Amino acid sequence: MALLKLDDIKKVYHQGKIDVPAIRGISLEIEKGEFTTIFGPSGSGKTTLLNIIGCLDKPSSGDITYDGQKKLSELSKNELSDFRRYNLGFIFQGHNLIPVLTAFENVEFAIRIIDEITKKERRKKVLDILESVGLKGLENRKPNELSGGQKQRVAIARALVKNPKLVLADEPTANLDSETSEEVLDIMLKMNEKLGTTFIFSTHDPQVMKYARRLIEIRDGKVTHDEQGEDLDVPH
Amino acid sequence: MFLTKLAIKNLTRHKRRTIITALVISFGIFIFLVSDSLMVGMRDLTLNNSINLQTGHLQVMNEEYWDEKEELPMDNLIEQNPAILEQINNIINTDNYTSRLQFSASINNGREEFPINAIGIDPEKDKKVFNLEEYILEGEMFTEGQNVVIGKGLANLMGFSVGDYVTLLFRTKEGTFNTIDAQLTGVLDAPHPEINEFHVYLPLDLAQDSLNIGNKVSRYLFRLDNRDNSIEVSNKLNTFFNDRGSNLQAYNWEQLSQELLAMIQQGNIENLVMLFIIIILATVGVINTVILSALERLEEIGMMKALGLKVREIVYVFVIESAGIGFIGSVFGVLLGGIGVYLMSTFGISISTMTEGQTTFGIPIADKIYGGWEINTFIFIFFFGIIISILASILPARWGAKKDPVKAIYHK
Repeated sequence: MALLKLDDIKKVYHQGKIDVPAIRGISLEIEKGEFTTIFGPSGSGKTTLLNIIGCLDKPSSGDITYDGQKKLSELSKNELSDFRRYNLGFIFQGHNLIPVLTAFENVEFAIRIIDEITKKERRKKVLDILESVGLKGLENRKPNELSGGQKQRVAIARALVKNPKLVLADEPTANLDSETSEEVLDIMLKMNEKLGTTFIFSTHDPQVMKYARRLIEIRDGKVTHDEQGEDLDVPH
Repeated sequence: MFLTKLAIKNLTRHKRRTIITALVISFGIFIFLVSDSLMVGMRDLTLNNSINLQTGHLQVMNEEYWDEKEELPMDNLIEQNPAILEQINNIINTDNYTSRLQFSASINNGREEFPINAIGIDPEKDKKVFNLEEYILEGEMFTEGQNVVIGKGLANLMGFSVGDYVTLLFRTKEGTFNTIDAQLTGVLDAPHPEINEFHVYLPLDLAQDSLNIGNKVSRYLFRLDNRDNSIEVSNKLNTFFNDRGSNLQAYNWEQLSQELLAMIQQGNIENLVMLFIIIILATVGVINTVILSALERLEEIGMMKALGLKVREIVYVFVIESAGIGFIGSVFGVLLGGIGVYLMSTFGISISTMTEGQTTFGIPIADKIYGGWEINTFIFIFFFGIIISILASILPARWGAKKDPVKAIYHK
């Protein structure tokens, strides 16, 4: 059974009297454990689609079924918050760490608000995930004491620490140099393989696409290409 | 708990802004405490002076006289009856009592006349209730005979010095004119402008003879061991008078100081104005800080929403942060206020310096006002600062927390 089923998703923005369609009817199925990249030119609707999948934005029409049971359009705002809290992880281009918290606390934040485990277990979990993303020994540093790559690793650790079923990453390497980008992508791929977490990226960076196990191309709000496999034909 | 910790840490993000906002609240609290202390000091001093110089703790007079007492009538006076006085004293359980006879007169220096309030007193008994003698500036209090004591203001106005002869013109009970020529034995400088400027004290028997009213007096005046008992004692006395079918009634110092208490009540409005200023200062400061913080942290707010935080949880972070600012402001405000009130209560503020000795605004106070302490005010204003900060933050926090997460994350 698919983890996500998108059924004729449409999104129209209203700018004054003008309707601007951003997504023009996308239907997709994402299986558990996929490492999927959505690519396309700027303004093609990648970020909008990711936001809709992440319940940060509502589609104008269509529905998303999660894990074969839950129809996201039927959930209230608070229920959507709970859904994100327990099931989704986000990695943003700008990492969005809280500057007054240390790396440890930024990661801990994601599970503190779930509060289902003891303090000891929580500490172990955070330290383990920070070690997994190569930040052992840097737990007590604040974001301004970390490099761009290190900050993005903290953001990855924060997204993964609660073992979400789905991680959404919007251009996670856009602000990183190519070497750091590869390191970050290696980590995410490792996590995908190790934890079975489903990843969906948006990008227009061919280097990122090389890591994908499924490539979905979007142009003008529509899926124009959808390919899966080991050696995908990465566009340049 | 984590969100509380985050809110507290957020206070350190822009230390200068936090401190400035807190100082604005502190300033408001400081002004309030100092102003309140001044009001408390003025109230205590005013009431004490009024009690010690004019009203005593309790007075007994004819019920009809009470209604017209401002006109100082010669009707409805009390025939002094030692038996009744003894019964009253038994009920009150005090020997500290005196009688006074008040009447309207004019003082004359040979060239000019000035309307005054003449008061016949028995100096020996009077000092058991009042401390008038302590304020004799020149000369001394008379014991008997054709003597008077007047206030400094009146003496200056009429050009009298100790030893001079003073003429009082008045009407007797029958309405005929009469005069008293008396020697000025003392000049008072009391902390009460009315006494200094309008009162003339003379021996009670001289007043009674001159008015042709026998041994009648306007009122009996009493000093109790504790002024807080005056209501209870006056109620007891009134029950006694009513049971005997007497026209006499007892009035406690609060009833006797109604105008003064009303004036003090007016003064309390000043405190309300100060409270309002604090509300404005704290509200503007906190709203400004929360809006700035929310705008600066839009991406963070978006991230928090993406992590699954609800609007009320994000509002909670801002509210606790504001409570923290309110707490810091309140702590500093109360400390500064404490120092200010300490200085005021120790050194006082000279009213005569402020007014160049011309007036005390009709309030019975000395030339200096000392601040008063009221611990409840400190406790109240401490929590008030925090609560106002919390209340002021709710709307802007909701405004920030309800931002569309997509717009917040991408800072559109």
